[in-house]
Amino acid sequence: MAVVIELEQLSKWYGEVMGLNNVTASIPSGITGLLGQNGAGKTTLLALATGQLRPSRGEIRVFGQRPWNNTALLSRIGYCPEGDSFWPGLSGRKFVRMLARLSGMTDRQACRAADWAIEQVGMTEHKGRRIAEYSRGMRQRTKIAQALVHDPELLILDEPLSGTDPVVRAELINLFKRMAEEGKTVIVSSHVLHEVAAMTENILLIDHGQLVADGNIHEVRSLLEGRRQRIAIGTPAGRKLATLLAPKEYIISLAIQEDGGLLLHTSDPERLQQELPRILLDNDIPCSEMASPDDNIRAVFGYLTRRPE
Amino acid sequence: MPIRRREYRRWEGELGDRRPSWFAILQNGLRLGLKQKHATLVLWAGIPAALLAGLIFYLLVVVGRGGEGAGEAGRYLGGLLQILALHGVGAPSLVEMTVPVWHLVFFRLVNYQLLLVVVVHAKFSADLIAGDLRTRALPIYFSKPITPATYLLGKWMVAFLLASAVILVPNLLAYTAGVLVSDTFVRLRETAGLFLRLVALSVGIAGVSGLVVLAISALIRDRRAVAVAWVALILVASLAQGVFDENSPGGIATGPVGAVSLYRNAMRFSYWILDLDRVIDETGQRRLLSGMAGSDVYGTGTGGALVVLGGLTALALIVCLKRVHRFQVAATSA
Repeated sequence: MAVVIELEQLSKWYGEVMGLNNVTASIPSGITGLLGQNGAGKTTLLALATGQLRPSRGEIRVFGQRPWNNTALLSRIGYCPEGDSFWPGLSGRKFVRMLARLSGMTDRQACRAADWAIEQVGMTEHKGRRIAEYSRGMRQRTKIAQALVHDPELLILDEPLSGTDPVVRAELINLFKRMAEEGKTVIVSSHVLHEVAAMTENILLIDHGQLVADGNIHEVRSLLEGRRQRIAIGTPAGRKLATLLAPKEYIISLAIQEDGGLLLHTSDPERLQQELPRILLDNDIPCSEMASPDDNIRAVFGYLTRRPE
Repeated sequence: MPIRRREYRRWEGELGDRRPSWFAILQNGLRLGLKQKHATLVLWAGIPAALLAGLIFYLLVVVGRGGEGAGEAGRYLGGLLQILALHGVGAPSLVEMTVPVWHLVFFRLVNYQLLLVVVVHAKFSADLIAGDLRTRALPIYFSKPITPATYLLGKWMVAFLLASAVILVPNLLAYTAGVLVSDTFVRLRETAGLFLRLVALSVGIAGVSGLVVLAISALIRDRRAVAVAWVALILVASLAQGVFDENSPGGIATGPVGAVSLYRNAMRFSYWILDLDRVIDETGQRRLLSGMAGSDVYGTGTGGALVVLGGLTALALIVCLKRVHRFQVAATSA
């Protein structure tokens, strides 16, 4: 596979705070998962790749070019930041269209491209509504649409699945996979291992600004086998869902929360991730969010960095 | 409901690079600005004064023609000129002084329009960068192929156009009305210089004020705080100057407060651009007209005013560029 991003002894400091420390790695085409806990340096690495930060030391090359102050290169990159970055009062369509125009499109081109990008993320029905009325998952998809709108070769997504419900998550993961099959390079940052495992085998693991591991995710996952993990599911029908999940062999325990949601322990989060959307849909159970309070990546870092969990 | 297998469909349309990016920022800024409450009311506030000026120019023509209605028109004219604090311009001498009266009327209009510019920036421009900082929109902006300079240009154009709506547009409207109600070609020839000066003055005030308010907007995230800081910057020194004026023996104080008062310096700049000294001298009635034009205050210290306004413009530009760059980095790394 062709190398798209090359990092060579790359470092970034914010004053005396280290954001990234001496990272050397190559990111090939296809999907790459960038794993790390909050504050590990993922966003710094992505900002360096999109030319929004200048390396303090070392070098980063994207498509063979330095991204810093390289606006021409940015037309080949789509970036979805982690936080919400919306102007109040705009509809999803106007937001994406405005960002399409920032890429140099005329109004007409921007309208077509915005509609296309919104369609890709499944937001066509809601594109005329104000963003302020969107759920978190809808806002997340709108941000992905703006990253897609100029049809970039490289898509950099910072925590794109955070806040999405299992159904949307499955759809987005499928979309990213299809994009990679179409020849695009997709970099997805996450602190949830099974999210990344569902879409790629290729990962970079960062901790405290340093590259801890890169390569095949299965090797990393093998470190976690047998470890149970907590999953919180936001739903008003926790009791019904608990009844349906209880017979599954990978469910260790179930507890109904005060808000009606469900907190469970599982020995196989990946399998839960695969089966849960079907269970929810078949039984018409609404679900607003699925999160992992245990943040299972901590366990991996514990092994790799030999720090206690 | 099945889980949709979301197929990625390749983009098959054009991906143009013909439209400058700052234009998109401008469009977005205007769209968001015009959605605010009472936006139309504020932006149209300069028009009544322009119509008043147009009416004055019309009455000047009627008085100049003589005849039956001239006396009555002269009385109306005197009344309207008093509204603009030009009460000393007597009707008998108006025929010879038409062009100087035009200059004085526009000078007074600008005096009023400066207040409108303060209001417009406080209402619309205060949030231009502050809003992007608050909503963390900068990483989105700078992930597109634009530079901080392009971003600032787009934002500055928003502030410039909004300020132009209350200074450039009314001035052009008043000028056009004045020309149309007069002997058009003669008046055009007589006032071509004034027209160019008016455009330069309006563009200068809209441009500099826009840059200054952007700099404040880049320093503070809260829109109201930006508006308060902007109004304070413009008015505090002017109010202090007013107090000094009240207590000075001649009624007008000069000194360090007057030197830094942005409002007063803007008026000095206007006096200089409109070339009022020369215009007044040519009438041979300096004693009468210099009082109305405030020559004692605005006709002096032009160099200082240019230094203050030029320095402020340069400072504002530097602040904008530095802050946008810094916040671009900070917002990304947060």
